[in-house]
Amino acid sequence: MPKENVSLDRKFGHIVRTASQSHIELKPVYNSGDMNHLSYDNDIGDPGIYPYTRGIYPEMFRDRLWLKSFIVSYSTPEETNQAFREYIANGLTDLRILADLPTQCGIDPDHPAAWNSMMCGGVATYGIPTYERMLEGLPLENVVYEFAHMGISNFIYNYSMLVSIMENKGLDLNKLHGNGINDPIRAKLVYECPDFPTDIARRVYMDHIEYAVKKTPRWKPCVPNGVDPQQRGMDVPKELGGCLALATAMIQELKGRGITIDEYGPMVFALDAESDFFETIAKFRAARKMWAVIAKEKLGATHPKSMQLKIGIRTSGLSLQWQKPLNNAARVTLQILSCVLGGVNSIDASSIDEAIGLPSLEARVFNLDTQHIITHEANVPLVADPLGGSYFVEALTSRIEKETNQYLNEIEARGGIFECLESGYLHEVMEANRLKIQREKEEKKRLIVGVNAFQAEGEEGPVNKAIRDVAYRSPTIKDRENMVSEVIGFKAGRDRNAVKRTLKNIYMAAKSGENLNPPMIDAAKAGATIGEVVGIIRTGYGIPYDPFNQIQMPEMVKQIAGQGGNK
Amino acid sequence: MNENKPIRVLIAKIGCDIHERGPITLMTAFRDAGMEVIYTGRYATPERVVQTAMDEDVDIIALSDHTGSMPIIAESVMAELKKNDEMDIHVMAGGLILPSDIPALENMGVKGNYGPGTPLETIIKYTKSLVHPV
Amino acid sequence: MGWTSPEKLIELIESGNRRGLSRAISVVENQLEGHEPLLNYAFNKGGGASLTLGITGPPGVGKSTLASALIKKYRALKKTVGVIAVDPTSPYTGGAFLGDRVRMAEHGGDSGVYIRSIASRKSLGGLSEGTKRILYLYKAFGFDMIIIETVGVGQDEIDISIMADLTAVLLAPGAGDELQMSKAGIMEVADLFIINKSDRPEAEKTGHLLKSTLLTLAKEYQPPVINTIADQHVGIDAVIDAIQSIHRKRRENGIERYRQRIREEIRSAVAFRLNQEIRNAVDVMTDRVLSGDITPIHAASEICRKFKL
Ligand SMILES: Nc1nc2c(ncn2[C@@H]2O[C@H](COP(=O)(O)OP(=O)(O)OP(=O)(O)O)[C@@H](O)[C@H]2O)c(=O)[nH]1
Ligand SMILES: [Mg+2]
Repeated sequence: MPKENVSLDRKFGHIVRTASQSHIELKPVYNSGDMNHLSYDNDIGDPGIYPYTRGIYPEMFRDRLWLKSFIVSYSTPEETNQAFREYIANGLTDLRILADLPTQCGIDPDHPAAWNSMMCGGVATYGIPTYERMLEGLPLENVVYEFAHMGISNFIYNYSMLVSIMENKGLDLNKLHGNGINDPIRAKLVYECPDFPTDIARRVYMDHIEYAVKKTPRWKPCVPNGVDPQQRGMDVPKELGGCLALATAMIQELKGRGITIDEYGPMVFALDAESDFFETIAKFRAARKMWAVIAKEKLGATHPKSMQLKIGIRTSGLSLQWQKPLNNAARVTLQILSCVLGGVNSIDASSIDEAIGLPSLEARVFNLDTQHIITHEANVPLVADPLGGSYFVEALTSRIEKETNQYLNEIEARGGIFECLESGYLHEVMEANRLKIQREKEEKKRLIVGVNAFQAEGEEGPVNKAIRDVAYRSPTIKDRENMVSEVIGFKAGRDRNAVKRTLKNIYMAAKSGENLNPPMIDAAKAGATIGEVVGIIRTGYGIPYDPFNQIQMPEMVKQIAGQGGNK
Repeated sequence: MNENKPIRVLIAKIGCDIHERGPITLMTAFRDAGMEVIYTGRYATPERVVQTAMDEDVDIIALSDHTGSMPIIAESVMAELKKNDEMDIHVMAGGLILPSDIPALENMGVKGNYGPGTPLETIIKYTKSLVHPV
Repeated sequence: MGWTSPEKLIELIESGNRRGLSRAISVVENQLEGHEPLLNYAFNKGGGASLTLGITGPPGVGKSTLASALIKKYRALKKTVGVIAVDPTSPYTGGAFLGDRVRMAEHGGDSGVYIRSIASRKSLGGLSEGTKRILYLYKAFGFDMIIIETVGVGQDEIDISIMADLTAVLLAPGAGDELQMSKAGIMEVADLFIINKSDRPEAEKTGHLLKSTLLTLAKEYQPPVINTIADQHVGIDAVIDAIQSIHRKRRENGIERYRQRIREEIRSAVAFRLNQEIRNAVDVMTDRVLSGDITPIHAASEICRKFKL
């Protein structure tokens, strides 16, 4: 349509694009001809049966509803503990934990680079006392804990703290339930996380996976993440392709460590629920099928469970807008609906005030209620894969599968997913698509209501205003000062010898190639901090102790390194 | 000749804030508006930012932050500029800026103070007017 | 720093003040008021002690990363380093994203390292012009080591090789080797070839291929080929050794090279001015042709007359 004809007033009634969000051209009508190339048994199949396109359980949500999860991350352990209690009292058993940004980067609050973002985005979980305070009085068994941090160091370390606490309490590690993203591609591609360079991250992530598979069978130690790459610019085939490629590489490497895919069990992906309704649904269907095929054909899975892909969702924070925030209610509702129709396993929905600040409890409850309404009033989850067999949805699923396969072939031809990360290919692909989307928005070929189209005239109404005015409290200078002195006090009060001894074990393992997770658990118990364990691993690799190159290594580390790890 | 000199901007991200989509979008927009854009990368410090601004002789430092800590960040940058007697480098701020923080930021001399969703054209127009007042 | 007179800027540069240098660069780069006295001062002062290294190669090959690794070594030897990092100006908007600095961030706090990012501003007369003027200032400032990074696209490689004491051409292992090597010019400008990203497959093969291509040159002109992994600081010592030994050899036939450089400097300064003049004249004539006043043929000969051609 010529641009001149696009009118953006409220009477505007034309469609401005004919392609999906990921630039898949769509026809006005689909019919049986679009499904000719598909066979029901091989490509679609009943829910609960390979290749699981329609879902991994025979009766889907009648078997079990999706898990409802939230990132719970306030500035202090006490606030977070309080929030956890409220959520659990509301029937939520899936708690996502995030650390503050410096911790996620692998540094302690007393590091000079921490000051400006300290206690922002989560709790400064620098060491075991914060974890104890955060989880005080909460059940550790049979609650699902999820780690959504960015740095690879954080997954192994936080897991070590959880395990330490459970061991100290004499709890059964078989009942530790949950997962950590632990995705080294995302850590570098999206965040350029400073804790470890990719070679160290690759070693640490695998050490953690190997250990967790053996010791805590209900903990998924790696959840390839498509959410953040997608939000940073990847389209759907690339989001999905990235996850599949990492999962494949990980299982192959695990095999080299003597663990089969059948021992690993079902795969879990964290995928994005974007605003494009049908594309999102088709993506989930294609994801399940593609993983089933890869697991069986390429990775030698023999047990049906290990061919299954569980999908955890984070709805798109990026789609939420600051302008007219009430509209975000419609966006999130549609995104949740696409997740339910797509048969996902857990949903972490963004809340309508997220474009403004940290989500308020009220907005969270609204999300929860939306999910209840979809379930109990709209009766959406009564029938498994209700869109299965739709000419359009099946054709789109198949199209996404095809494009994703092309991308996977490209990755393989370029030497694999890590090589594509290192060579800058992934960055290029991501940035090119991001730019394309940005241009489309500028040229109004991609309309965002209230932002580049249908902007409200005049004053906003009281409802929008109220959402905008939610109090966002960023930590004050006093809060930050207190945190710094807390850490300094904690470090001074520890059993220095125990810390030194356990750090030395990490150092030796880093050098010798032994699994880093066991000494990491001992170090967490002894009170070694995130900054120290990151630093000692780096030192073991002969790179500067401090990821930011700003502070000297502590005396204790100097002694360990100076002794070359010998007695 | 002076008006032919392209505007030079340093986009700065201080601390551990990881949200990069905003500054990157702004970078392309500034470049497409004919400016020369330098980026500190993530994880910069106020001292580095001001040193870089001086070394690169930029007209403007554009601070980006999405953690709600802009007053704290801006204060440290302004102090560093003052220390170096570089008060004629303009400082702009954008990102998650809370309306309640704007007066304090303006008091420090921080300009723009653009919250989420500000149209790029608005930012570009203002940036140009800072360097070439009409 | 407000407007500062050239005398003051010279004084600041003489006292080793970085801010003075940084402002002086803007003055000469943009030909602001006072640029001529600054350039004359810089030329007269000269910079006999500085060694200028050009680093060029295709986008993303690791030029900045290598520069950063070199800086680290030179700093350990207590040498001061100045970097001119050139990135392309967008031909459509005149804007530029100057991204090299991010890769050298580790030296941001070092008072012995000065990095200046500049845009190629091609439309204003080629890479050499702005870079050349800045290079005068760098030499006057007295850095021990000067590194110029440019993306290698044809003419730039030649420009840089004339300005620098020696030029390193970076290549990555793998695809497009033949193409890159047969590219005219590259063999002549390279004093040193570096195969970076040698952690990737085919690095060795690329090295052999390159060496065999270089066999066509007379032995004394065959540049060394060095494999590096810049982001892991592997092979950097070999690069530094090669630089030193080439530089030593170079000084022997230094006079001829110096003469060539001076010729080029005069030529490019004149070409720059001429280009500007011609462009203005062409603009005027274009309007006249469009208004039906004269034909393009007339227009061209009128311009030639004006410039006494
Ligand atoms: N695998 C590998 N990657 C490298 C090596 N050297 C640099 N890189 C990576 O290659 C990418 C590009 O490096 P840069 O130094 O920015 O390359 P450049 O040639 O300066 O790029 P432009 O200035 O954009 O032309 C970065 O991600 C570096 O980390 C190396 O030896 N091996
Ligand atoms: Mg570069």
